[in-house]
Amino acid sequence: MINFNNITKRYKDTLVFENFSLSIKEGETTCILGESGSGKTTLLNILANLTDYEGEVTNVKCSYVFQTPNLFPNLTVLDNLKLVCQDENEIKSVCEKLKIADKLLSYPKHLSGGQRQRVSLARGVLFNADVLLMDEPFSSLDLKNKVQAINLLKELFKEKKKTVVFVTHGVFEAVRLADRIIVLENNSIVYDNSKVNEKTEKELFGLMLKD
Amino acid sequence: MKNKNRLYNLIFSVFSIAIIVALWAIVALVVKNEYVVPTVSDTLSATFKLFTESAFYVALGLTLLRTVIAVVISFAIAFIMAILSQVFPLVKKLFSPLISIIRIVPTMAVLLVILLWTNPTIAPVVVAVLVMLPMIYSQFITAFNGIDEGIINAAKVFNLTKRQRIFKVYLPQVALPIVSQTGSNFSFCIKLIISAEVMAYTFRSIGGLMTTANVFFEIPRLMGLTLISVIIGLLIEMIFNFITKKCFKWNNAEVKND
Repeated sequence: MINFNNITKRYKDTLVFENFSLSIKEGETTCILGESGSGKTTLLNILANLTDYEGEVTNVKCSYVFQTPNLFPNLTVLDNLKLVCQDENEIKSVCEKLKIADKLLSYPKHLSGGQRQRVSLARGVLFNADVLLMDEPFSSLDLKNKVQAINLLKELFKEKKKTVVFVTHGVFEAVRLADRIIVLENNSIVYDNSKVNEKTEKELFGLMLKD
Repeated sequence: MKNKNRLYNLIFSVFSIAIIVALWAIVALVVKNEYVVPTVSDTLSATFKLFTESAFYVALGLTLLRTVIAVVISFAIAFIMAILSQVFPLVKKLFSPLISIIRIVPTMAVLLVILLWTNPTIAPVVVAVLVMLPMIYSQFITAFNGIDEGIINAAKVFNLTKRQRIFKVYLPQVALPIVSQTGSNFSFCIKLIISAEVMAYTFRSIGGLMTTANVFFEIPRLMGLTLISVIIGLLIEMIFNFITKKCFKWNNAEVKND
């Protein structure tokens, strides 16, 4: 289990979490939904030890697909990926599945937003870690690439029994990728579903769209 | 498309130079006094004559050498100060008033004082260093602070070693703005060195040749020396722009859309 115990987090005068607790099962894909400012990214950053906080969090090695790709701009795609994985065959395999194998010798600035995001996804998947964190991983992708990426990730997560925590605004990918969906609002969990099915999308739309 | 843009830029540059030359010719025609505004032809003639004089090459070489020395010294001191400022925030606070004072002190006043302590050969270098140092220091600090926080987070999350972070991530990103500004730093430094050489009447220097031309009312020669200084400054900037483009290819391309 990955546990957040009594987490309190403030950004200057804004209280994001106060005595917030959450447990995440290992080997599952957990999706965190919520409005902007509800603390979704903060939770990921706390787990990745990228921000200070009060409380306790299970110490795990994380891989991260950031909301902005954060690729190292002076390195080619291949060199970016080689920093996290030495196996070139594995790199090529993942890149082929994400349709960026022809961009391995390009620099991030040569790529479109969607291509950079796919490289970031590849990096996140290739880095050997206990938990994969993803912050809006499909935001720059068009529908076709989004569906391809979701299918690929689903396959990979199942194969490697990976623990994944991802944040998104999109109910579409939440329902298709997650084993468990949590909705955050005002420092608390207002929806928690560990049996995601066909009805979940409708439930979520109802919840997200209500005043 | 890229070549078309280059061609347009070239045409506009040539056109604007042609306008400047045309205006100059008109003003010279109106003023009709070569001691005030020499004609274009007299200036060009005096300029070409300079290239036949060995003294000119010696002066040019030594002025450029002083410029290089001043830039290298400023660069080295500014780099060390910037590293110390980043590592020790208290040091940054200590440097801050010092940098401000150096920046504000009137350059020519400094030159006159330094001439008392040194000699006309060294004084222009010292003055140039004092002017360039705060500038280059600020450029380094800006470059260090300009490293994207997201990149720093990525380096942290993916457990990059210290060596990898410094040499593969941070240094190239700091180097880009520094190298790209080095061209304009050099051409600014040439301007400073020549001004200081004029004031100090430095022997065997472009500034010294300018002062001599001025004293003997050889205004076309003075204009010619000025023209050469401008061209050298522009050439140096162009060289560094070229170096930046070649060494930092990763920064060159435009973003495409999906």
